[in-house]
Amino acid sequence: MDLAKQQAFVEHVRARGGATQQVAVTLEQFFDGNDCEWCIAPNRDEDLALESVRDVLFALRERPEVHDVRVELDQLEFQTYPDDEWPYASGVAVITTLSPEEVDVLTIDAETDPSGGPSPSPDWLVDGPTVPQGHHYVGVWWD
Amino acid sequence: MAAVEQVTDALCYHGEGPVWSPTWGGLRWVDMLAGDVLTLRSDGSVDRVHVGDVAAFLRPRVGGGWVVATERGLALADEADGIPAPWIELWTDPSVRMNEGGVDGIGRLWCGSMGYDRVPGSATLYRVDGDGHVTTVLPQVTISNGIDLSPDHRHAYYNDTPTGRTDVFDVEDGELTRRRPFVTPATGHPDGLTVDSAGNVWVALNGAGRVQCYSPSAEVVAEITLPVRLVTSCTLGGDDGRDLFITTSRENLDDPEPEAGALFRARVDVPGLPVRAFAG
Repeated sequence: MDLAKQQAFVEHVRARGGATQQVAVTLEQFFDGNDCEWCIAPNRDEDLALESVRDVLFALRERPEVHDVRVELDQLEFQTYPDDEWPYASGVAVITTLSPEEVDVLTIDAETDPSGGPSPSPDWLVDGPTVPQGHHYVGVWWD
Repeated sequence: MAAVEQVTDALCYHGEGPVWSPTWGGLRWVDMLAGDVLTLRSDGSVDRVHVGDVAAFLRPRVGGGWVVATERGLALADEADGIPAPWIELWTDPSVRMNEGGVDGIGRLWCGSMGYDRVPGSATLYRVDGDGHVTTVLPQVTISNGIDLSPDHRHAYYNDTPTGRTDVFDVEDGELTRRRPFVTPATGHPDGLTVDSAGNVWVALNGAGRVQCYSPSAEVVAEITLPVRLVTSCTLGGDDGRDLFITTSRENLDDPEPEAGALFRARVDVPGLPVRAFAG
């Protein structure tokens, strides 16, 4: 864990309202300096490393049908984060023209559950991604 | 006179420090006293990253990522969309904060400061090498503001706002020498500035609601008028380098204009220069 990056990340999320609301962050913001295996994708096979989840999400964002991918953080759990903890994310917002079922095919290697949506916009998120015309929100998540 | 277009809502309390860089996909600027860095995305949306109590100015880094000046120091991000972590502190006096800055011809960062109470002589222009070594360039300035190089790197233009003028230096062996007045505008307070590829100097005139462009011989060659008094800074960018982005503020105003704090854009004839990255 890069503790300087962890602290900077937590301060950013807190400043954006993350103590009481769900804040969305970019993939770079979430994964840079983060080696906390249990910060996302709970209950996955223990052989599936955080790095693999990261790679699946970055590859998803590169798809031409995908406008953006942002991590949906839960409300901040701690006032001061322990050295081995990173703010927990319960899901990922995918802005795309694909159906939830088509997204599921692309995220199967991250052991995701069936995606939610489609919805017009993730308006419950602070700093949520914009939704261009013709696109919608699909919620990737793990049980 | 070039027409000006409002690009964003009045998002900022004190917008400042616009920089165009392909490394982060376009334009970034700061909401300085909120401690936030804003990014204009290609779809027109704006992302906001909190970096500390103050976000004064920013530049890309040579090896990727970016550097941002915080209240009294610098923070570094390794990724274009990463969140910067603290790197060095330049001073400890809490009555002084970072203000504008820039990068010299060999990748060193110019960091200007100002006192919160604007006491004359309380600020400094520093230079920071890529390894974090700090040198005082100009002691006893007051509100250290815009600084940029001519296209051949032989001259540097600089605003210490309370002087009411833009100064010019010769650059000799990387040092600023022979400081002298370049232009004294008839109205407004010189704030941020940028130099275009023909060597013209664009200066934001705070309080006057305008940006003026001066030729290398200090003649006014263009002027842009905005619907906001507090015009803080400008930079050139866009696909062809001919979009002049202008930041504005509503700091300490009892009667801000509705657009105060918005980002504006004007099309100009001469493109800008590529941004110089910090070597650290």
